[in-house]
Amino acid sequence: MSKSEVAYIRPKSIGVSVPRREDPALLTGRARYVADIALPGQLHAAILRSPIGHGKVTRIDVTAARALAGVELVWTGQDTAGRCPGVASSLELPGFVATVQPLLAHDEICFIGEAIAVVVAESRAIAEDALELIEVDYEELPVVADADTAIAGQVLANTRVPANMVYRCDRVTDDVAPAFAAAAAVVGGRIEVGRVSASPIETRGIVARHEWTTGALTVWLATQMPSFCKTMMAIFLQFPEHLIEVITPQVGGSFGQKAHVHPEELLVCLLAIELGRPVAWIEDRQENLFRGTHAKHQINDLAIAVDGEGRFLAFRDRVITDGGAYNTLPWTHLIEGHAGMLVITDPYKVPAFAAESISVATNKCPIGSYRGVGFTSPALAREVLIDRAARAVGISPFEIRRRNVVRSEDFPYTSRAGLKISEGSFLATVDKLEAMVGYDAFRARQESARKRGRYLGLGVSIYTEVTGVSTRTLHYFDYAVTSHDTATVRVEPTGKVSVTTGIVSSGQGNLTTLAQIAADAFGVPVEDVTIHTGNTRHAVGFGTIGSRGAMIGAGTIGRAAEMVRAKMRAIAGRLLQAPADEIEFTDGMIHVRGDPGRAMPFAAVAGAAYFAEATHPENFDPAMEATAAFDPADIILANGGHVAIVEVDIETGMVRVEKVFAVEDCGRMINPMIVEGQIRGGVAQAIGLALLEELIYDENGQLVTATLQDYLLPTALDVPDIEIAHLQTPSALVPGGIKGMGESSMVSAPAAVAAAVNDALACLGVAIEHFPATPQRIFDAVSGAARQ
Amino acid sequence: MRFAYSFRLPVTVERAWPVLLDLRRVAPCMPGAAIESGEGPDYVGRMKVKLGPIEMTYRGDLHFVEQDDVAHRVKVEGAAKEIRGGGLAKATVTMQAVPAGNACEVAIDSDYTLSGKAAQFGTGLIDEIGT
Repeated sequence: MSKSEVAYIRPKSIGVSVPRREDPALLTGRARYVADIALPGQLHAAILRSPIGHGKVTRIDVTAARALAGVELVWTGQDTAGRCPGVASSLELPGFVATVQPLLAHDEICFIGEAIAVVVAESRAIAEDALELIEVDYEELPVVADADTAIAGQVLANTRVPANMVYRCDRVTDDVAPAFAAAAAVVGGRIEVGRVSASPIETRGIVARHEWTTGALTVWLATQMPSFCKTMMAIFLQFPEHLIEVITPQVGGSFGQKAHVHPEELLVCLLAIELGRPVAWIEDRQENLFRGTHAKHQINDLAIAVDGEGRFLAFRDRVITDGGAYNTLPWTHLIEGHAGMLVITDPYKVPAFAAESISVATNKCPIGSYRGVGFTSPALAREVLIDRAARAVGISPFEIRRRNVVRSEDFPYTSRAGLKISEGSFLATVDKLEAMVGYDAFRARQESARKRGRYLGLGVSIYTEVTGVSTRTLHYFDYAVTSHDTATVRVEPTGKVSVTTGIVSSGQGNLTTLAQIAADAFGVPVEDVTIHTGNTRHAVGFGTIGSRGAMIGAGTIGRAAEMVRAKMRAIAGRLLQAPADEIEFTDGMIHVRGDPGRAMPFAAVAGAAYFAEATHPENFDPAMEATAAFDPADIILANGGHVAIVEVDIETGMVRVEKVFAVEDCGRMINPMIVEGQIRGGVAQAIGLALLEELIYDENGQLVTATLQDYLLPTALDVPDIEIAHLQTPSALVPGGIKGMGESSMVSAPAAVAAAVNDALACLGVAIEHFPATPQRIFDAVSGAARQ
Repeated sequence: MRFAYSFRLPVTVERAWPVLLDLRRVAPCMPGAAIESGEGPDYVGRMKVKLGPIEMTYRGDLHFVEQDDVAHRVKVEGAAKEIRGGGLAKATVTMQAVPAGNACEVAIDSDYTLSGKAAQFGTGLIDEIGT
């Protein structure tokens, strides 16, 4: 049977805001994270990180560090190079330049914070003290501190990347010149979204144990991709994969930052193997800001041509990704601008499109995935410019979107980049948002506020979200990777249901939502289902990334449940004297279709399978357990939109977000409370990205925002009231009609906030194109306009 | 990062100038600074700096790149390494003395490049003392 088969699930618990079963442990401090793992004889690692942005180590002396009491081991790059060449990240694309990031730099140092040496000691404190005793001489090399310098190619950020060019691609090359020549209006800008960090509350961390008695390598890891990490450990460390177990305890937020194989993870495994004692490495906050992968840094040179009615004639985009010194594994630099370029026109009908993506190496931390990945920055550029186009042709921001979104009569609509859109509620989203906002009343309020010297702005963003990263998705974005996940479903003798999945729980409520899915697959109460997750022994999977947990969960559990249901139907059919295909599962009972009276308890049929051979049909296999894979047949698109209302103080440059409206269509919702939680959390991060957060490097490649005093995360004070409405367009490709939605607010809400700031300042002739829109940038733009 | 400041000495520039150039005499005037060795245009010294809660000791070389005893102008370049912690500091310091009647005005203009803890531990910390 096909891995994309859509199993039947009748929604009953699905759609209900079932309280999250993970919360008692989380809210009372009883959840166990990697940092809580304390094994007998456990040692602690600390890592020496480069204080320079680019250079070479000319001398390194670890004698004093090794001599410190309590230190067990000190390694430099010379020690690791022979054991593991590093994290190699490559894509089979013409012209793509692969990189190998060493576990500890032994030749060239390519960014500040790159690991140079590691100390393993009895305690983290001793290990940190020993770091200070390591003497290093550096030869500094010229630094590539920004994308323009990188493109100029005169100075190399990483001598192994010729001309700093990791990848250049022009996959969509329509001739847009005629459309731009014929346009009633052309809007364009060089819209830059700065570097940010996903900043999970739990930083990265790993504990590794190697037992010589069994040869087993057990790894407790804060990761979203345990199976992938296991396989990569086997390959990069040349270690037998069947002896590796990756355990994910509670993960304290991840947001994409933990969806990589990080060099430190391989390093700690090597240390545990070398020492024969468990080794823990728990990243501190400053390391996390330096090194925990950065995200979002794109410059979109985008232009939109519209006709006199505001209809889009053409888009032209040249996107540069400031990708840092190395490619991350598995995403590479392509995760940002390249992926973004391929969805920048969606959800609109754009008849002509030309785009080029350029990914360059710089002396910065490698760019990695973060909620909304490559899509945040292009959505922001597009939506800011659409608002500008609406002002140019004199129509409302809702009207211009209404005139351009893909409508149901257009399905299936294929974008110029090749993405097929077959379902969604784009027009309804625009209408719904406009009604929620009360658009005319807002404009009147904006006008009267302006007279009092107060600048209000409204920004709209409409989005598609590529959810549930799958083989089709990966191929669309030029990753020649196949992916699938599995789940195992077992019906216990007393009729309870145990599900084992590779989905990682890092706060999304998966244990609850997956239980709702499994409950509906068997028609049993949600309390009768347990979700087992958190190690690689029993399930495989690509990872809990890219809004795929719900979709993959439903697909795998649905298929596995169907295999067990078939056996239960066979027994029940025999006992109820009805054909097996007329047996149904409802409310804890198994009954004949259309005849609820001919029924027996679900638990009784389960018990019969285990303990009553007389009830078994001929040649019955009593394994009440099945494992199934799932990989959807096509890309699953969710959609929706956001509106933000802001007030800009033009004297101080401060922006206050007054209100955010969200419309979400993620198909059939499993748990509306959890969906809304995802939206609210994403809106908070969106406000951070649009207004506050920026990782700033100076011209020497020094990260000058290396504490949370300088890297400004949003707090509760920055997050306004958020009003949410739901539309539900069920997916035909996932059991229950479910779609993903975990990233939606970070795809689209930053654009709404950015567009709102621009709307507030448009009356002054001011446009903000560099984000975050900090007080300094707003102040400079406003005072610059005033001088003209 | 630039630090610029000036001070007034109640003596003539002619009298002040040789003293200002005698690093072994001047260094102790700066809390935390010491010259370990050297003569002529090259010196080895150390400097203890306290930024809020963080204390760092740098050790490195000083080199006079320019000295004009007529115009009372001197330019010194320094490169130092943190003794514990791996940070680096580079500085170019220009000192200019100008007569002001019976006194003199000494202007010091220094341009620092810091890496490691000092650069990273909060721009607020450095900005407070820089200009």
